[in-house]
Amino acid sequence: MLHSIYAMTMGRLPKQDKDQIVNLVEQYRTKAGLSRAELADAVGVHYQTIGYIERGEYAPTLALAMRLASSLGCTIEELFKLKGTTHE
Amino acid sequence: MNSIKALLQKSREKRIQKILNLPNLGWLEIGWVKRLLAVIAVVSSWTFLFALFFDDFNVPSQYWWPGLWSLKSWMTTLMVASFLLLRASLRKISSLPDEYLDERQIADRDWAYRLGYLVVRRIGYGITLLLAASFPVYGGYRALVMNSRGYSLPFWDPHRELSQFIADFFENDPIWQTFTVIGLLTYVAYSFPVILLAWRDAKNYDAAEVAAADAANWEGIIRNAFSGYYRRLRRVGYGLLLTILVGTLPGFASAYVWMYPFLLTILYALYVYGWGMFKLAHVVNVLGNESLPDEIKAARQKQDGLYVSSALLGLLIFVCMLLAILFPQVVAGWAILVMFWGGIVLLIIHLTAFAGLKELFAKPEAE
Repeated sequence: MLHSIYAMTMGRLPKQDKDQIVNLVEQYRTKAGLSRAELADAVGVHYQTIGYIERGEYAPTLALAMRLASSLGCTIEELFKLKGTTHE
Repeated sequence: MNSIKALLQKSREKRIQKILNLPNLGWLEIGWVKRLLAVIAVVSSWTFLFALFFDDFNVPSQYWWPGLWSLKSWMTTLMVASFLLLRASLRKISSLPDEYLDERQIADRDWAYRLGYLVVRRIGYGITLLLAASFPVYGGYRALVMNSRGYSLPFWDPHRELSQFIADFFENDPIWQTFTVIGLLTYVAYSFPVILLAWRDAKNYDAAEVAAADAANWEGIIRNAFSGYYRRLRRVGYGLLLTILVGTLPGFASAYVWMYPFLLTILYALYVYGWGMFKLAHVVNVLGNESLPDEIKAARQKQDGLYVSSALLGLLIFVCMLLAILFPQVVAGWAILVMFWGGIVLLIIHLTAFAGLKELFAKPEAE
């Protein structure tokens, strides 16, 4: 319930299904052998923020998405996709 | 003017630095603890509200412990304690300016405060609506009664009933009741966003991450523990000193004015005991981390023993206090004696424990 209140009032999560973003941050992070804390340090956020992003509970800003992609050695398109489109 | 501005800026920077240097808070970081505290804060404030309107449920005093405070006092204690602990566990996210937080933390904090504002706004709206609704209800009922002349309907006047209820509510002690109502609203405004944040933050607890952060910052945690303990203990000393000073003034001594600083000091000393136990538990936990240097890990054994003995002694003192309250005629004499000497021994144990922690930094091998 709290999640739906969050989504309704916060404005950071998309309100429509077609705008929902799925991500492969966890897969890329594991592949790179990084812990959440290490990735968080690299991009300058709190380690919990990485957990939020991985679970799809927080959609990062473009700047943070770019920093994540750069730290994980991939492109933003590889990390984030709109729901319905598939990751290659 | 500029110097005042500079002074304020300096104090702000000092406060920020202090918050940034705060270590993890041990079990307060655990998810279910945060949620439990959030539930306690909500349940105690609702119970307080009901107790306020039902006048402590009018339970005859013989069914309570003789020394038990009223339900409202217990609920107030729970409300304040749970809020302070929650606030401590979320100190960084709730108190730091934006530039020290990441974008998700800012968004979370803004969400909680916005939702908190919406709730408080609706509470105000609801109360106003309820009061406003009493007028048409009153008018309608009055019209009904007027139109039913000849019938022996009991005359019930909701407007007068409500007025009487409000008058009764404030009658005994208007200042205290007004203070209570405003205090409760302020509590909701302050605590609700923190409760929401805590609930949300709870599921992000990662024991391995917290343990790693603790191990990386073990020096900060131990320094924070002993310096904080000594600082608090000094305040207890100042309180006792003030009590003695007030007690020596002839007029004040005979009027028992010294009782106020004395009781406050005793209450504060109880808090210092709780704080000390909390910090020692955290330190013992941190010292158990495998990645720490051997000399530091060796200190854990000593701290373990001191922690267990101070916990047992604290329990004994608490039991004695309960016994003294429940059976004052039977045990009060020796219970007070045990509490007094137990308190002295407890103080010595805590001082030994914290001095031992300080010593870790005095040894060259600890560096």
